[in-house]
Amino acid sequence: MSTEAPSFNRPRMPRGVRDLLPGELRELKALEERLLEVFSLWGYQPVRTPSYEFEEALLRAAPQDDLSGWHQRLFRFSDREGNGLALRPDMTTPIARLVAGRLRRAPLPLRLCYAENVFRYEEPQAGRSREFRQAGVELIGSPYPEADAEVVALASRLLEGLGLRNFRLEIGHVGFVQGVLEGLGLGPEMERLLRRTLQLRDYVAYQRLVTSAPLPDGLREGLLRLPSLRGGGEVLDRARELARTPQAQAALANLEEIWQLSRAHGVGAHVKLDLALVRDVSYYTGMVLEGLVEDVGYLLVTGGRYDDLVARFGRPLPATGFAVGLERLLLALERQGVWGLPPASGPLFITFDPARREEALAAAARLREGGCPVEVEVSRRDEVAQRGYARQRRVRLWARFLEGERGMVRVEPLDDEAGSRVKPVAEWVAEVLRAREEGVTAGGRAR
Amino acid sequence: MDGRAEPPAPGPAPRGRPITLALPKGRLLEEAAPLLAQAGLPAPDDPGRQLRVEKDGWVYLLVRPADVPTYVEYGAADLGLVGKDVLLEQEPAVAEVADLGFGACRLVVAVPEGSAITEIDELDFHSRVATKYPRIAAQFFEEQGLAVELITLKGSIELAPAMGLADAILDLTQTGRTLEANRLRVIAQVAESTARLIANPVRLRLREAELAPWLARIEAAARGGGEQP
Repeated sequence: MSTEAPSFNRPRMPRGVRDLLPGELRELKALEERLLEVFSLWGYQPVRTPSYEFEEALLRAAPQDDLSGWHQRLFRFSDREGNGLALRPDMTTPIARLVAGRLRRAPLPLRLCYAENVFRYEEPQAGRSREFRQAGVELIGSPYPEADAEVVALASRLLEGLGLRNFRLEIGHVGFVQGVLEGLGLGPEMERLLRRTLQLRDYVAYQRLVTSAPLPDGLREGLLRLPSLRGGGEVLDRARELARTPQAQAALANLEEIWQLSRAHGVGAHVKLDLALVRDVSYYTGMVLEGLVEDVGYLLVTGGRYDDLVARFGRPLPATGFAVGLERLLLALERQGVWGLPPASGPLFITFDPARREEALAAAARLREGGCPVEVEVSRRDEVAQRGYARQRRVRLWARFLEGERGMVRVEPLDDEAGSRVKPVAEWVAEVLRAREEGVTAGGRAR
Repeated sequence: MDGRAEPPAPGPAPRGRPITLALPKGRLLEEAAPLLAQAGLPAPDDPGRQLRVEKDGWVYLLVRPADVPTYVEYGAADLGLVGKDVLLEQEPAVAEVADLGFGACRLVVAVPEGSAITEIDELDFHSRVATKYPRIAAQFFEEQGLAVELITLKGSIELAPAMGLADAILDLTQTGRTLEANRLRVIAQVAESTARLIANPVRLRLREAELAPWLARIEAAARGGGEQP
């Protein structure tokens, strides 16, 4: 931007995306592996779908009244035939397509999971990027509360297992808010406004709308209390007076079962009810789920039941699931100080004089076969430069194959070790491999 | 939110982690201070030049008004106090908990007294409108079906028409005196603004037990309209 400090044509980065360096990626990958391990403990199998699809397919998840809004949030482009394509904004929609298509003969219920990047054309702000990594599960084929409770329990066990503290999973029901509002006879526009204010948690506007709406007094007070219907099982009792339509009553009964089941799963301590919970994603039809933790100011887990989505791809199937933002989760774990991999141990560094290169490369090959990470010198540096590199790179060992020491290897000291040692090559290789073996059995799986 | 009126001051000091409240430096804060005291929040000692003041379980952050939503959105503050005009401009992802009633102002479009323009429709695509609310302005003129050229300034908006930089301004006015002094005439009202209590949505949910009584107290104090209990 400025001409004062020349940056030699360094390319700029588009807004809302970022690089991950080796250290960051190592953490994120390790976290992702842990998540997929937990998913597989519950029987979920990973799937992968393409990063982009026909725009038309992805837009099937959009609500009819906000098609343009969804359109705006997609990264769109076209192929040479002029077909509209778009990057997937979530994994739930492609998985719905997959289930209605190639997986249509798979036995139900289907338990699928994923860890993939998703793309959203939004203003980058608090905790939001335009490309981020999501891991999640989809449980497809059951309309029953057992399925929703499994998803809630899995989310809870997952976070608990990672050592996250003070997190909370809040569940609500799309049908409750909808049933309550429809029972008021205020018309669809007013219902939409009330839902929107609840979703934005704009309680000032919500109160104003309710106060000015033509409502009998008893009902008005009940409605003003709606945002405070949050907490444990007692909330269900308090909510009953508001549930005047069959839809609202059915939603409440459904939520009560999910609540009971989540307690039976042993995760009751982390689960709370929030009857005013409204999610911005339109395809939810039943229970909705949000996971929060104090240490990050935005949602960690989102999900819910989506019984109509798979049908939009031609196969009516009920489904439920959740997704967790991996970068956000890692941030929360790091802020709580409960995440930390042991420092990565550096590779072995092998350098050699030209006369001994066959020997050196053969030794490196043997070490790698035994699972030892090895770097060999490819830059023809002198001893001083090699030493400097070995320190900066934090290599575990520096082994030199010198012309004057036939059959031997010189292991150079790094940092605090005393002088170098010279050993026969075969003996040294065996020793390194033995030490690695012992390290693995003593310290569990070395990464 | 459920309107329980708690007895006013002094409140019990919050236990555990302090509650962080982002306050806007300047005019709004002067009006807010008595109300917060009435709600039982500990009065900070004279902050002097400090930007962060801690007192009896509360942390007050003194920031620019336009930065209050940012602190709250990112969770650097649990609560914030800010004018609705700032919320309209930024549309931050924060929970708007209460209208505190004070700090009432209007967002208006004004033209120089001598201007031939009497109605908003007379502004056309040649017209330049100066504002420090570019988002509100863009939305407002789009809704009116008007394609004006917007000029974003950081302050002293009233100067722009006098110097020929703009034909009109979109700005905040409380009493209208500044507009008068700069010989500007209001031709349209865009929105009304009062001070709002905002909260980080996640904290509001997770620290509900600690926050709810305080939110009720502040609301009750605001409803009292500055009367002594």
